[in-house]
Amino acid sequence: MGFNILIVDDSEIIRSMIARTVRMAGVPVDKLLTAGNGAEALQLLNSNWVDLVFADINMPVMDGVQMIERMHEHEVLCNVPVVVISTEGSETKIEKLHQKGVVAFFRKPFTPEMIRGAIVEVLGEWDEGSGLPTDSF
Amino acid sequence: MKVPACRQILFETARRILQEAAFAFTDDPEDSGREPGGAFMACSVAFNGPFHGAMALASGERLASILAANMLGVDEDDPDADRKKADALGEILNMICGNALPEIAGTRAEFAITAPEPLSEPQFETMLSNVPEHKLHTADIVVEGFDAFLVLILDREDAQAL
Repeated sequence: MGFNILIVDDSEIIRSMIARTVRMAGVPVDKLLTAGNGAEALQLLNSNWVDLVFADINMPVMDGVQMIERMHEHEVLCNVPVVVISTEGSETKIEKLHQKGVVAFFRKPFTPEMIRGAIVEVLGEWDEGSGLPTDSF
Repeated sequence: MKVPACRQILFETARRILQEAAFAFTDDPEDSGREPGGAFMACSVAFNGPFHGAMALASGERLASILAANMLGVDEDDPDADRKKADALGEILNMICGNALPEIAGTRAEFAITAPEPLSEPQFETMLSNVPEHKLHTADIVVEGFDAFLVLILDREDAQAL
């Protein structure tokens, strides 16, 4: 048993790095989904249960901000937490993203500790052996 | 911004990003031995905000190969190795640009940065030769014994006053 995590970034190398970092952080993962832009991500969100989204901002077709706005218009997707991982990290942009409901923001480069910390903060701790949330024991 | 300060920001940001994102360490250009870097590789990003411009990073393919290997675990036998080397170089540049701009323009300044694009050697040289000297800021970096060259173009007259 694990979490379903969606990684949204137009860079294949960054998607792979985040996926590898999630695994290195010891996060129990059931499905690790990836999308190259916001539109692809919305399609995946509409057909899969997702516990947490890691999303970039600048992407072709549909950027991260548009994707977050579309998620907020949806009665179910509005509850899916989004963590933004972007190269652009002005204080102004971070404030705007928090106003849009983004739960955490990291500027690239990121570390396994940042990713793990975000997952623990959003989804809670888990038992390393079973992958179950620790509050279920 | 004065040229030495800008060069220092470029150098320090590149050093930190290369270390944190690709576990690649920079050496002092003055006292490090250089190795042949292999075929030329370069990429660029453009940015737009309180001022606009571009940043480019050039290196040999042997350094790009080290970056890709460290970032993704790519080996030379990987059929996609060439593309992944270019991706690795591009993402390192993207991160350097995203982290250097707030140092130059302040932490509240918002910039949009384009996706990294590969540049051929003639394209890179043309880009450098077309930019007036006062808009051009450069940093020579030695990474893991290989040369890399980082270029920042601040494309606004009053950027000098930042």
